[in-house]
Amino acid sequence: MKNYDQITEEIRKIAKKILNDKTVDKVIGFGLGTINQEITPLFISKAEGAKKLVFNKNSHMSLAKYLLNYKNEDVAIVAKPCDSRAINTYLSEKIINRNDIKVIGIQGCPGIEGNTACLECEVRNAVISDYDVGEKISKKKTNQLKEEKDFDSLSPEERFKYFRNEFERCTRCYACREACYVCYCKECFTESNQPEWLNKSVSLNENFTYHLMRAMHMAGRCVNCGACELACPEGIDVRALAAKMYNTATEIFDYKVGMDQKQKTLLAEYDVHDSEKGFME
Amino acid sequence: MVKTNMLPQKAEIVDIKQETETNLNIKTFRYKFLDDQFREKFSFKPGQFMMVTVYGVGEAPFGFASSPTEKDYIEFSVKKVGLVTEALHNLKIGDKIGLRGPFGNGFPVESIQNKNIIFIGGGIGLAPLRSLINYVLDQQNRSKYKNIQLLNAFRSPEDTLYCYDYKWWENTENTKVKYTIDEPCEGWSKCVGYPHNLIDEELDWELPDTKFFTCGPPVMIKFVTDRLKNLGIKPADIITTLEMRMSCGVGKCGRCNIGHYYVCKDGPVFTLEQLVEMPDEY
Amino acid sequence: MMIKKADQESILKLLNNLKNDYNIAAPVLLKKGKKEIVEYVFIDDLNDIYLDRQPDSSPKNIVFPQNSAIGKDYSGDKLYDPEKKTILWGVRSCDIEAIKTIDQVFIEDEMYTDQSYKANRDKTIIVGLSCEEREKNCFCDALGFNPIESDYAPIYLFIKEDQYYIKIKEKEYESLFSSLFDGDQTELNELLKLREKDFNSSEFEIDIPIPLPEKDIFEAEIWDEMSEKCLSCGVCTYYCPTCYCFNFFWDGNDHDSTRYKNWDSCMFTTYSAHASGHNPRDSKDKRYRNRIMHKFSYHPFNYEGLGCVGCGRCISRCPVNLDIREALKLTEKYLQTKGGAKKDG
Repeated sequence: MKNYDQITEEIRKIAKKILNDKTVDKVIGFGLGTINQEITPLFISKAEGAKKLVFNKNSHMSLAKYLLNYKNEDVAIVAKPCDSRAINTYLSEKIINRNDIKVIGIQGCPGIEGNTACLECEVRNAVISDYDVGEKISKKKTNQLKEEKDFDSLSPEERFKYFRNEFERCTRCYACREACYVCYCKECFTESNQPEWLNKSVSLNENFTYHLMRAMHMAGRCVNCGACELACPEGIDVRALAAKMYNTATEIFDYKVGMDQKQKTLLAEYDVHDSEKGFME
Repeated sequence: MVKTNMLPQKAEIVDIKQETETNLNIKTFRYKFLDDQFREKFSFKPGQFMMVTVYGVGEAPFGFASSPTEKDYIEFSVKKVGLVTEALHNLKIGDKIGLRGPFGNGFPVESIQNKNIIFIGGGIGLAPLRSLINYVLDQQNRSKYKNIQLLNAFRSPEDTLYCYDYKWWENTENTKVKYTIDEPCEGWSKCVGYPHNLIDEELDWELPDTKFFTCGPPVMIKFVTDRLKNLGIKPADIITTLEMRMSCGVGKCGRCNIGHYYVCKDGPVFTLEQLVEMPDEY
Repeated sequence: MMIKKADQESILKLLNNLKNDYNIAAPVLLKKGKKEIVEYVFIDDLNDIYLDRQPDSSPKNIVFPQNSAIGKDYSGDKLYDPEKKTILWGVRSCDIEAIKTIDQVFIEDEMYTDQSYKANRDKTIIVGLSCEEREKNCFCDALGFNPIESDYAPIYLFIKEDQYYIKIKEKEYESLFSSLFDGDQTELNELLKLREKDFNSSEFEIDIPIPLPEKDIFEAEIWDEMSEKCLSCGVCTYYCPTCYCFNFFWDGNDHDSTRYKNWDSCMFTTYSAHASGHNPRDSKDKRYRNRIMHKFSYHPFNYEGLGCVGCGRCISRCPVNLDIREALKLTEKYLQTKGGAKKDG
């Protein structure tokens, strides 16, 4: 497995080349803030700028979402394994064109500090890639299907108490939604006013509604990347519900989202043999 | 300095007129404040607006459609487009709503005295103009203003508003009223076409010392003001009223700003002279 | 003016006494999931007070909470007693200036005063806290503010190790501190002199005219670049000590239900959307432009002073590290290359 610095070097080399030979107009990657030197998304359109690209242990943002801002433009994107699955999902949902994008796929991702999702990562290698950086590693056996907290063993009351504690802090800044690659709806249910699913008050009830309804939209689409949780300024365990959805999709339908660009999304495909576990039980 | 607690005054719906229904659903509501003292003290200027609360649903701004010369009630025309307007449309005579205001600068009713006035209104944009039209055409006030002309534009004959006013408008001395629709239509003998194309032919726009008031869909306002400017009308004599998303009505909540102006407080009435100096973000 | 001097223990004792007659709100270190966050809250246990670093959330949470009932108890906090005044303890210069900014809008505006806000503010006594060192993202001095002391607080704390110097600038508050020993003015002056000398100067400097020229900057082609990484979430505005945009909602359906004022954010897509669907700020570059322009052009134009106090929270808490200082630098560069930069305050 290569380290962050080695991967950074490889990214820079590729970015420089593909910007130089005009394969792409723009490279979406990570860089450092010019003033505070903290990790930040970086958009490079000149080959000279490629040296500003960085990949380090804090590169937690899910860059895939930025692809939606450059539809029909030739862009390259630095993709961690989780981001690569997000890109595949976008391709399978046909909201971006394969021809418009080049993926600089990180193989053997060393993981992101503080992102518990990395511990549950099942791929470790980019699943779509035009230019490999890093080094493929064999699929490490992870503690898959096992969230950090084992909610199934808790009583409903205990579960409720846990999430109440979490969602009580929510200020509904929607950073989790905006950081999430799944949440690209033109109009989110939170913004609909006819009907008004959610009022603007920040109260436990409304916060619960927001997080539960959002979780429902995650089934078979969330790649369990952890971007939501890392974006949350209040340290809320936002990923818990999404991860539950992710694992349930695997458990019931043996479905893993974003492994292939031609793969249909879970809810876009109907199979008469599908398990009906949990349905109207 | 006005103190505000941003709580509305209760009022009752005393009349509802279904203005249009086929294309756009527009109703005109007549409200009466429940508190007698408040009602007697209440005054406003044409061009100002109120925040109307539908209890339990929300609040939205509406420009006065009635003239302040009507002492007993106030009227607002409401097009069914969103949450609050839909809730309003579901209310019946006798239902209670909340009102806050009046807000905004209003039309310059004093400085246009002894001048000729031309009104060009499109669709529901006629509502705020009607407040001023009814004010200047009112018997008490008519003599203060010179020649008055109206060009009322609607999509189609089904979309005409305030039909019950046309007769008295037309019959008021020294007043000319024109009507136009977008496309020719059977049974329609009045003008056809967009209002900016009709100014030259249908209106005596060259009368000296004329003030132009226009309100309508943003694109109509742009075309009309451009046409007037091309005809050599001074931008200071072209007056319009803008619409923005608003919440507080007093320049605090943020959302209605165009540059450093707050439409709710510094507007909604602006001259073209002011508008061209403002950032193009409305 | 009165100077008092005390050690940590006497301060706690004093606050413990004051607690009987006042609500005490102060920064507290809270464990939130995997994060440790310093936040202003109403407190009961005074040992919780945490003044070691700039709080991650601003005291806006106290003077203008996210949800505030109109015409009723302003704060719904369990520890808040509406009958009592509130002592807002340990507020740094940036946040004091921010409260001043919100006061300008809600109280000192020549046209309208927000009565609920004013009633709450009238009951709030700000006790300032002098900063000892710069934190990673703050830049108040680059904007002309003084991190060591702000004039807007009637009482100020200067802490050196375990020693508190308390400057009481207004007579009406002197009695609150009468139980403490008198402090020595020259001693405090020495401390201040030292602090000013030692305060690490900002690497970030900015030279832009205030207010920013409205039309010029509005049409500058810098906003796409500045906002490229913005996610359009509300973090920067919610944690900003000066952002005061709000909305209303009703709790309940009947005529006597409570009306609440709650924060809104200009970074949200629907913030300025009309019911018709038309939206004057329908893309993130326009929204980001409005945020910057509001702070550095519109607010300075309509009121005195800036709409940004340089606390740096929008940077620290942004999920993508969007740095307002970079935006200001880009503005500066734009004005300089256009040859239009002139210093004005």
